[in-house]
Amino acid sequence: MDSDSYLDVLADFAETPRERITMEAELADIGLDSLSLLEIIMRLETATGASLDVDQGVTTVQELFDHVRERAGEAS
Amino acid sequence: MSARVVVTGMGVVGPLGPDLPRTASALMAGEHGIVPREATSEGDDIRVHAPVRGLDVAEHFPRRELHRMDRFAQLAVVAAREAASRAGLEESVDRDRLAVLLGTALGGVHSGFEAQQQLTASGVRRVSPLTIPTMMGNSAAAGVAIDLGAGGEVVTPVAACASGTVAIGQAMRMIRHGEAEVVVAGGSEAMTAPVVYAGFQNLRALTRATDPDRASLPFDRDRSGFVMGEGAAALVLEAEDHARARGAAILGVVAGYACTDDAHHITAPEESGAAVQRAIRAALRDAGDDGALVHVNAHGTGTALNDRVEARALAAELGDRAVVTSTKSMTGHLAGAAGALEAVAGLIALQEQRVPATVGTRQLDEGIDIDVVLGSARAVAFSTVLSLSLGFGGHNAALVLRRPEA
Repeated sequence: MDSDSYLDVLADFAETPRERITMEAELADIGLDSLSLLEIIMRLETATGASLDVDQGVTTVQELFDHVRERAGEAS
Repeated sequence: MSARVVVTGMGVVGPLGPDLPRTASALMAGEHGIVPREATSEGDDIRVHAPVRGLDVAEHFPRRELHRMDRFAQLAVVAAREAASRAGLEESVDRDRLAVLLGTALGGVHSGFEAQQQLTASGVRRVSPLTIPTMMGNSAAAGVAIDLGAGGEVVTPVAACASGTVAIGQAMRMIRHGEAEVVVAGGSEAMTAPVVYAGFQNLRALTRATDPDRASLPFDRDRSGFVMGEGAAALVLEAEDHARARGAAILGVVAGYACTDDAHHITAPEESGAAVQRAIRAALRDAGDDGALVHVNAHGTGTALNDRVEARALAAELGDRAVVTSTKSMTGHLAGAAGALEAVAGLIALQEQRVPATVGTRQLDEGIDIDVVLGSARAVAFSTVLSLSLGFGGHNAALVLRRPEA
């Protein structure tokens, strides 16, 4: 999953324009709470086939992306 | 003497319309909300239902908020917002003393069944993390609490089809006992899942009628079961002094409440109706019965047994004093929301001094020796409404409403 499609998933879920989401942003800043994070993770798992681990304590858009990349790498 | 409990706001979303004005106008005009229904699978014999009319929930919530709630919770929030807004709750209310009592019969079962289908089709890891928060029966009350910022007691009374009436009755007691300053009370239900229809069909409780105009026939000799309805209704209750101090308009008084149980059978009502009579008597006593005419908003489901037992209890307890209607002739059966919508209907009838008709019903069955309003709404001078709700489990809830000036 590249950063473009990753940000598309986030923007769609958060109902926020794509350009408003930066890699440095906190997930909470784009309106994603703990429950939303669980939902996003399920979407990202479906999109990548990777198994994500929410206990990793990710808090920023970048951290979540890194985690997806890492796990997707393991899956492929 | 405990405080008089008054109603200062009402909200409703149901088969007659997506708000109070449209519901009130359909109610008085006798325009029912029953429509044809497609079978969902082989063996599904139910051809009519009464879904919410004229509501697009997407206009009321952002998408992300929407899918955090089962439909029964979405409907509850829409109805509660209307009630709160009409009561002017935005201002001058102590949020820590604002309570929410919202009943339901089956709550978020639809979400639960969808999750089970997902589990069967795709496995554990594809089951939504929202399954539990959408399924849980208290999610409507909690959703309303979050929406209105209600930090007092927030709970969900469950008494099957009597839940809405129980919620309002218990809310009245809370205000009387000073346990809350303002209570948003009512009920919500959205039993749209095919498995719920299948269960009721096999209980022989739902009508197999195909003509929407002749499907929900409370007290009629041709009645053959109830029509499934959907919706939510909420009332804002507070002590009269509190309402007057903040300048709120007083729409009616919740004057009495009682609830009894048949202690007899999990689905069938006890034939003598003795426990229903006890509930009626105790609620009227609680209200300070004046012996005058009573408009009865009956439970009146259109099932053979319910209507026979209820009519027997009403005839024995009230005789000629009762002018009876069944709102379910127009809305179908809203289960845990029924009593709440019917309390709203009773207050509308009080305001307009007209009793809506039991539409659809043409000829009362043998043994139904009560005065049921048929044809069109009847002008009646009355000050008291008795709203009855009877639920699986033998629950008999009776609520007494009065005009503010009575």
